[in-house]
Amino acid sequence: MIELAGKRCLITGGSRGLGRAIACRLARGGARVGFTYSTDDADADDARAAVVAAGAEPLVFKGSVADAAHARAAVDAVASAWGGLDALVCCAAITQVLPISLLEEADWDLVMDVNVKGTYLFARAALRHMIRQKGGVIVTIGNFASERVVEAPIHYAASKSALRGLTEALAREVGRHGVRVNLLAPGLLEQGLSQALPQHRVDEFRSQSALGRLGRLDEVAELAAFLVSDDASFLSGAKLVADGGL
Amino acid sequence: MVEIADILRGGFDDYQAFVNPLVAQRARLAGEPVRIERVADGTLVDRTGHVFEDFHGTQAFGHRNPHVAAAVQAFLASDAASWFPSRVNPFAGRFARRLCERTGHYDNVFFGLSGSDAVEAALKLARAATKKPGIVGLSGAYHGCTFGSVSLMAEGYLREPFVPLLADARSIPFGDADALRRELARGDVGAVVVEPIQGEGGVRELPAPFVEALCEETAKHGALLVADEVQTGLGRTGRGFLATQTWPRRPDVVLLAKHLGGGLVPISAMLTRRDTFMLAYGQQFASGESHNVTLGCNAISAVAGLAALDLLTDALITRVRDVGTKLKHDLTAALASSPLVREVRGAGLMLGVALAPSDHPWLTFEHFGFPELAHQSVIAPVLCHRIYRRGFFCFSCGHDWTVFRLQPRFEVPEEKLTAFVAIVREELDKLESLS
Repeated sequence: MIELAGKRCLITGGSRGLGRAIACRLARGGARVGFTYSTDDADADDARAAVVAAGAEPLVFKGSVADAAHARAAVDAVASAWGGLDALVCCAAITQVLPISLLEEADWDLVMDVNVKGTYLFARAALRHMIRQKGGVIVTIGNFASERVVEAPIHYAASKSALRGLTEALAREVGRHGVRVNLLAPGLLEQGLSQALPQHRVDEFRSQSALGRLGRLDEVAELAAFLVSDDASFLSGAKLVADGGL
Repeated sequence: MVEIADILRGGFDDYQAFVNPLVAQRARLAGEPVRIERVADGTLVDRTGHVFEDFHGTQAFGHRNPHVAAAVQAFLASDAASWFPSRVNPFAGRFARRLCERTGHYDNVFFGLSGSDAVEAALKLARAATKKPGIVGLSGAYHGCTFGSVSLMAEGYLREPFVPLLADARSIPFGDADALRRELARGDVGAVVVEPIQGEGGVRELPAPFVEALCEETAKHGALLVADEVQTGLGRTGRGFLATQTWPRRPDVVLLAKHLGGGLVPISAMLTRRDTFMLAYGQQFASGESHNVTLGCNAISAVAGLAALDLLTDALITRVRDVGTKLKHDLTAALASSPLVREVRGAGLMLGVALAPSDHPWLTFEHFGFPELAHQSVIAPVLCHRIYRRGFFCFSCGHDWTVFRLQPRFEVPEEKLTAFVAIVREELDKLESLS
C-alpha cells in the first residue's frame, strides 16, 4: 500500500462520492485527514464515520468552497491543529445535465464558482502554508467531460477544462517552492455523474472505453493517494487520466 | 428497528440500485426534486431546505395530513386487529357505509389497493353481471396497469409492450357518440368505461352530448356504465363528491382511489348499487368470493379513508371549485398572449395547460440528446423542469406531452397559486425567447 503516514491532508467535498473515497483511502494509508462539505450534515456524519473506520479522526468543516473566508478558516484550522498542511485534494464539484438552451447565467456561475473558484480559493489558502514549509501537494480533479470524446454539459466541461489550465499554470508558479500540483482526470465512474446521464450516454462511454466499463471510486482514490504520496515526487503539472482507455 | 433517518439518507440510492434505475435516472435528468427529507404543512422539503408544492394530485389533503396520520396512529395505539381472516372486517364495513352515504346513491363497495385494482374489479363485475364479454373504452384513456385495465389504454409506450391484451376490449374515438351507438348495437358490450375528465389523455372533459348518449345508450343496451373517477372523484373537480353526480344518469359503477386513503395509505373502491353487485357475485355462495384482493379490506386503510372522508366536507369541495375557477381564469388571462399556449382546461383543481410545440430545433428531444423521443413534444417536460426549480412539482400528461397538468392539494394557499401563475408566465416567456 502507498505510504502516507503522517501526511496532513485536506479534501474539499469529502462528504460523499469521490471525495469521501479519497478521504478514506488517505486515512487507510496512515494520513491525517480533514474534509469540507457544503450542505448535507447527514452525509458528512456518514463520511466522518467512514474515515474513522479507515483509521483517522477527521477534522470536518462545513461551508461553501466558493467562500474565501471558509477556505481560509478550514485550511488554517488544519494547519494549526497538525502544524502544517501537506496535501490539498480539491474534490468539491457540482454538475447539472442541462443543454445550453436551458442554461441560465446563474447555473453557469454556480458551476464555475464551485468547481473553479473553489479550487482557486482553497489552493491559495493552502499555499500560504505550503510555501512557508517549502513543500506540499495539490491535487485538482478534472474530468473526461473536458475532452472531445463525449457530449457533456458545457459549463461543467468548461469548468473542468479551466482546472487543467489552472493546474498547469499553478504547477509552474509554485514548483520553485517545492509544491507539486497535478490534475487527476477520471472517466465516467459507477457513482456520480453516470447516475445523472441518460443510459445511451453511459453506453457511449462504455463503447469508447478500451476497458469497456465504468470506473470505481476506489480505483480513482488509489491514484489520488499516489499523487499525494512521495512516490509521485517528480510529478507536477501533469494530467493523470483514469478513464479506462478512451 | 426501522431507522427513518438512515433510510432517508441511503434509500434513494437503494431505489436506483434495487427498484428501477430508469425511474431514478429520469427524475435526475428532468431535474425533479428527488431527495425529499420531510413534509411541512402539506408541502415537501428536500435535504437542502427547498420547499415544493406538489401538484400531482395524490395528496389532495397535503402530504402526511395530520388528521389522517392521527387516525392511523390512534388505530395503531389500540389492540384492534387490522386484518380479519373471515374477511368480515368491521373497519371496512364502517368505511363502506360512510362512503355510500356520502355518495347519496351507491350502496355496495368492493375494496382494492390501487386504481388498477378497482378497474379490474369493474371489468370482472361487468362480465359476470351481464354475461357479455365486450369492454369498450375511449381513445386517450388511462385506466391503470393491470392486464384488464391496460387493455383499454391508449396506444403507445404504456400499452404496446404488453400486447396481446384482453380479448373483446376495444376503444372508440373520444367523445364520438355515433361510434358509441354503433359499438353498443353489436349487442356484446358488458361495460363502457370512461373517465369524466381524461387525465393522462390531456385533461380532456367528455363533451356533454356524449355524456347524454353514454347514459342513455348504455342503459338501453344493458351495458354497465363504469366511471373511472380515480382522478376526478373525491371532490377534485369541485363539482361535488363525484364528478358524475350531475350526469343525466348515475353510472352503474364508480371507481375511486388516489386520496381515498388520505394520501397516506393505499386503498381503492368500486362503488355500485347492491343489485348490480349481486348480479355478479350474489348468485351462489362460492361466487361471493370469486374476486378478491386479500389486503383490500385492511383496517389501517379503512381508518385512513374514514379520516379522509372527515376532511372532505362540502365546504372544502366548494373551495376546490372556487379556487380552481380562479386559477383557471388567472392562468387563462396571464398566458393568453403567449404563443406557446393553446388553452387552459379542466375543472376545479384538475387543470391542464395545453402548449403549442416550439418550432425551434433547440426545443426538441433530439437536441437534448434523446433522438428516440423525437416524435414527442418537449415543451411541457421542459416547462416542468423549469418549474421544479421554482418550487412546484408539476408533470405532463402521460399520453399527451404537450399538456402541462396541475392538481394541487385542496387547501393550497391562494397566494401560492398567484405566485405559480406568474412563474408559469415567466418561464414560458423564457422558453419563447429561446426561439
